[in-house]
Amino acid sequence: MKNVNDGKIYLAGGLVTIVAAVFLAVVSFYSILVVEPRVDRLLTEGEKLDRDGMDLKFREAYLVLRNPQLFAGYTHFDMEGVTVKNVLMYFDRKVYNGEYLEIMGRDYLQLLLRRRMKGSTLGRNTMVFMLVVSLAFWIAYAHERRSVA
Amino acid sequence: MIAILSAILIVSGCIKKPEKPISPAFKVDVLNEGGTETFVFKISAGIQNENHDVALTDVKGFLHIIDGERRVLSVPYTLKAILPYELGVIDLEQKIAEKDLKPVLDLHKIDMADVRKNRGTEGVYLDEKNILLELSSYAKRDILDLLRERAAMKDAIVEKKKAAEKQKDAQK
Repeated sequence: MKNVNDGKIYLAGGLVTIVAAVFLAVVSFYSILVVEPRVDRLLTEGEKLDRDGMDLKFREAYLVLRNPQLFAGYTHFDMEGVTVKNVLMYFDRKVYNGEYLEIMGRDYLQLLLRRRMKGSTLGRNTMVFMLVVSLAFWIAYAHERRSVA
Repeated sequence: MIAILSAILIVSGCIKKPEKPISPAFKVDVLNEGGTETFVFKISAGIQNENHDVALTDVKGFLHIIDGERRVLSVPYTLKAILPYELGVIDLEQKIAEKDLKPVLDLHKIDMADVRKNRGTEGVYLDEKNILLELSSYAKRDILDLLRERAAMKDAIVEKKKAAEKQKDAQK
């Protein structure tokens, strides 16, 4: 019986999953390490300031959150996510009209932040999965190489 | 590969255009202005922006009341901005001549004599087969760019006010 060499398939699989893992890592950790702490800082600083200062900080936080995390977009909403849609409509109109964002808005901004955090967590967990699958491919590849040799 | 990438670019640049008006309705009031009978035609409808990151600004168009292929009445509208997921509301009122109003009433089997007697009509919902939304022109704006622009405008106004107040205090 002809000895089938699956080495190329394992190599391709290992490379593709590593690339996917790197992409997921960049996207997720940028959010986890840079964006989310920045928003949290803006919200925390904002609630200690006067009306004008709070408005500036909350507005800046909203403009950051308005750009969704790659894995927590604003296109599809489940039952839990419908509140997010309403929050977007509310803040879009407020910022558009030049109205002040006040302390009551903090909880809604936290809601958007939590959605972003769920997205980055999903990305991070998927990255781990990809790394595990990649490792399996590399082990299989190494085994195949030894068998052929 | 290039074709696939181009297709992705094209699709991602497309927006969902509003196609149908939401809950269109009209109402007629009959006024007596200096002995002259005047008909006031009021029409209302919603335009839904289903995009999540694109605002429609300077929206202009027409609401056409139609009977099959024939346009019975056309009413122009303008909306400044419909933000993402928002329902833009068209709420218009215009004086209308009897000869222009009659075809609309006939389409809904409303007798002109009853309209005169009751000094108008109740709100009449327009069936979707009798109303056509025309979007003549609009601008697409990325919501983030638009909001940043509006925020900058507000900051400029606040700065001007503060400067004016400082000047006033200095003069005192």
